[in-house]
Amino acid sequence: MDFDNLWWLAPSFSSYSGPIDVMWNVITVIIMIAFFGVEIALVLFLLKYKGQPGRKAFYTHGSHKLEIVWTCAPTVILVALGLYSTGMWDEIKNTFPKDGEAYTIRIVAQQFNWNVYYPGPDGRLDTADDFSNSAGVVVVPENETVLIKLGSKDVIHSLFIPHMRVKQDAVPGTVMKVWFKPTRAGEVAPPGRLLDHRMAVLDKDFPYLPYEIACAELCGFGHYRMFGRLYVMPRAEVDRWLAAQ
Amino acid sequence: MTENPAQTVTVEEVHAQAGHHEHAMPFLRKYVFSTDHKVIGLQYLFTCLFFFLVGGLLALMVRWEIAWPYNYTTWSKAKKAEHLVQGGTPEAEAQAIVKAEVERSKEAVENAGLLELTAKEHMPRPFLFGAGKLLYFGDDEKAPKVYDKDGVMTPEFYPTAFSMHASVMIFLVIIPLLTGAFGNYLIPLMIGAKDMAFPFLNGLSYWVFFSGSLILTTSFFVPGGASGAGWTGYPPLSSLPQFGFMNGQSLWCVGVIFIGSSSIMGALNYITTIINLRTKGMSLFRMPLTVWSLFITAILQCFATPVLTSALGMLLFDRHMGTSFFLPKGLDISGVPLDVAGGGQVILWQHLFWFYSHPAVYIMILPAMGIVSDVIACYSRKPIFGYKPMVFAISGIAGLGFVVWGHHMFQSGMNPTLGTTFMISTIMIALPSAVKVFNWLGTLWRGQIQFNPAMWYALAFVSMFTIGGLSGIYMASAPVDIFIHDTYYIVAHLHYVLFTGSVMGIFAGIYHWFPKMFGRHLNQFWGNVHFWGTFIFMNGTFFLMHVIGMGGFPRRIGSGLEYKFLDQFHWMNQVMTISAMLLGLFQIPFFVNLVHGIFFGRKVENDNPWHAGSLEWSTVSPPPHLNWKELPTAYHGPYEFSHPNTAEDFAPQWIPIPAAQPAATHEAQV
Repeated sequence: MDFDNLWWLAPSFSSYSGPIDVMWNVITVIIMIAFFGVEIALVLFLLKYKGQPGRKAFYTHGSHKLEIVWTCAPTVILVALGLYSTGMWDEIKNTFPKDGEAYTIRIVAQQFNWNVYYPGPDGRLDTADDFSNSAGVVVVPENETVLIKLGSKDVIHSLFIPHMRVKQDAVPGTVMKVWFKPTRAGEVAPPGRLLDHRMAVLDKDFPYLPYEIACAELCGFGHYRMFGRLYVMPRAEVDRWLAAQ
Repeated sequence: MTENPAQTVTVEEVHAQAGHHEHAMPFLRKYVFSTDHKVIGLQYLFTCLFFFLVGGLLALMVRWEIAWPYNYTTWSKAKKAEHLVQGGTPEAEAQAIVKAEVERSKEAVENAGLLELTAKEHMPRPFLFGAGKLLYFGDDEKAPKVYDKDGVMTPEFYPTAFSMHASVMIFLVIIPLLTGAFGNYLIPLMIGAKDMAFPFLNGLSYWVFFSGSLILTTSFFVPGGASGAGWTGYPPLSSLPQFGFMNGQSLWCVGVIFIGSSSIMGALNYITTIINLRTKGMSLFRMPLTVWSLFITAILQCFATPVLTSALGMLLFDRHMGTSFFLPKGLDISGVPLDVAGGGQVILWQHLFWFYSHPAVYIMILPAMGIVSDVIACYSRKPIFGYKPMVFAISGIAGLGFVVWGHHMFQSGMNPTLGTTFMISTIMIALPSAVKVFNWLGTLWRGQIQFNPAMWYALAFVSMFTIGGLSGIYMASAPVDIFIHDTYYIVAHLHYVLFTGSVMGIFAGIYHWFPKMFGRHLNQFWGNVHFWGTFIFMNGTFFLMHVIGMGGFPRRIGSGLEYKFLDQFHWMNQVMTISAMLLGLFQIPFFVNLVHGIFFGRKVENDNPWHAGSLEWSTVSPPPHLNWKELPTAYHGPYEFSHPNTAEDFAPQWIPIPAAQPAATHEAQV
């Protein structure tokens, strides 16, 4: 999809992306105060205390009181930021939906594509009726929790869905769990639309526009072309697509 | 001018006094395989400045590839077609154009011919004059084709370009410039020692470093090309040639082991020298902050580097001896199972690597902070504000630096509970950094600020390091890091710390100590030109990286045009690339000035041209073999500027400050 977000965060559409963006804004406000405070003081000092021949500077070795103030004030702010982040982190990376409560798929990364496995009619992964594609086409329902079991065949890759605020390294030898809950389906594709030269192969069968998936961990020569597509659609559309496979 | 005892002694007299054995030394012994800390310091300086050029050219290759990537032509044609439709051209016609593009690129992909596409479609790249031609190794099936026949960089070469840019800049430029060049040159002079504690080890450290640098850079010329697994060299990508990187990766490991060993030798030397060889009166809390920062840095190097060295050893075993330290079982490449023993842990490498490399980040910034403190105090004509808090802040950063490595691994699959711990310790590291910035501002406050290139660079350090430090708070917060990890936001952050931080400190140090090193002045006008050009274009290069990072631009991809949502940032990438080239051009005045200054610069009018207070200015410039005829005594701290009891606005460390208010004449204080 085309997003117009030139000067700020990429727009986000998942259940926990809102709080992350709020956290971003909170940090921005704090550091902007610190930044402008420091830079303005610096420039003022340079203008005001330009050296003049024959004059001496003010002789001082510092001030204990000031040191204590400017040690304690940032401490309070920083600890607060840390605690504020902790809960959110725990919710995103350390709490997972139980089996059967989420729309579950498996993604296995390899140099240089994403293999996506769907459970098939029996609704369970790792059975004979599973089906898969190796083009990185991930189809998920809107407003439902999605659980991805993420693995890798060869080197480390990283599943990055910018607009869902999802990022998790795919570590060979282990299966990582990733969950997210997309809150907005992709835009309905306009009829007779132009096929983007990059999306043509994947895109033409879907009535909705995709979110993009990138590999965020260097995985070799072809790292730059290891992309995938995330189609978020209403449940009915997803079922129709699954049934057609 | 204060009467300076050392000034009355000519260079010749000191030389003679230092012993005629020095004159008898053959050229090789005196200037090449030297054990004199000053010669070794300058060897480091020149070697590292050379590699600064190499690393800079690699950076320009990286920027070039991003701004005009292999698929740029296809992309811009397709975009044009889209615009045609929006502008009213019949849709069918425009669609036909796009479809043609699509067909062509599909065909190219199907033939596994992305490289062919590249050869046909590449933008003319006059900048490197097809330098890659030198690096084309024929059509060997096994060798990954990282350069095509025309010598054009392919997107497959891109990982090598940025990996080697980072490796060169970190291992061959910033760390050795700060610790090797400034550490060697300044430590004995600033603490009043005749040489390092172990002069032979010191010389050995340079030559081990030099060998390592050759191994690292010659890896470009072996079949398969240089390492492309990132300067972080994460296995399994780096552990087996099947994953893409061949001999160059092994050479990278060996080279870094050499450089690490050299680092350890240097660090042992600095610690011993600073603890044992301080002159009379030079208590620890009378040392200049440059020495303090180099001291703490040496401790970091001593404890952290062996971990990296052993990890690299393990990686080499994995590559060549069939061990599986970092390889789990069950891997395969395109359906072919890999025959390895297995049982290893991929993430183990990341722990070992970052246990070194996070402290290494502080190895790269702390000495710059020390240099900047000295420069700012000197040109503000004021004692450093809060000397002891500054020392404690350096120690605090170093101490915390050992318990934050996990913040590089928030998304790596490390236990998230561990992530919480690392998040808190990482956020706390902002605190000592903030204390340092406040103290620099305090030093400027009510000073008599003198502007020259050294001071400009120190001021640029303070203002720009603030940006790099503050942007670090975003990624310290683990949930926010989920989004910006491995995006250009990180690239912006690290360049604001390393380029607009460390490199500013390095330039400040070079402009400040050049008269001491060579007894001549650098041209101030061209110094200012160098500064303003660098200052403007480094921001032009690195600031927009924040913006595209916020848009989700992943780092380490050769072409952002693979992703539709990144289209809108493409003009920014081009702006950055042009800025980077101008930034490169503005280094020419510096190098010309440097060479000109060494041979033809204006001679220093006296041994202490900046009216500074620390001990290195008490000897002649350049200092003779063994530095002093008679070691000076330190009577007080190095920052007694504008002391009320002196007539001059500085009181050098080697001259006691009179107890009472001075008379109006100069004689009173001697």
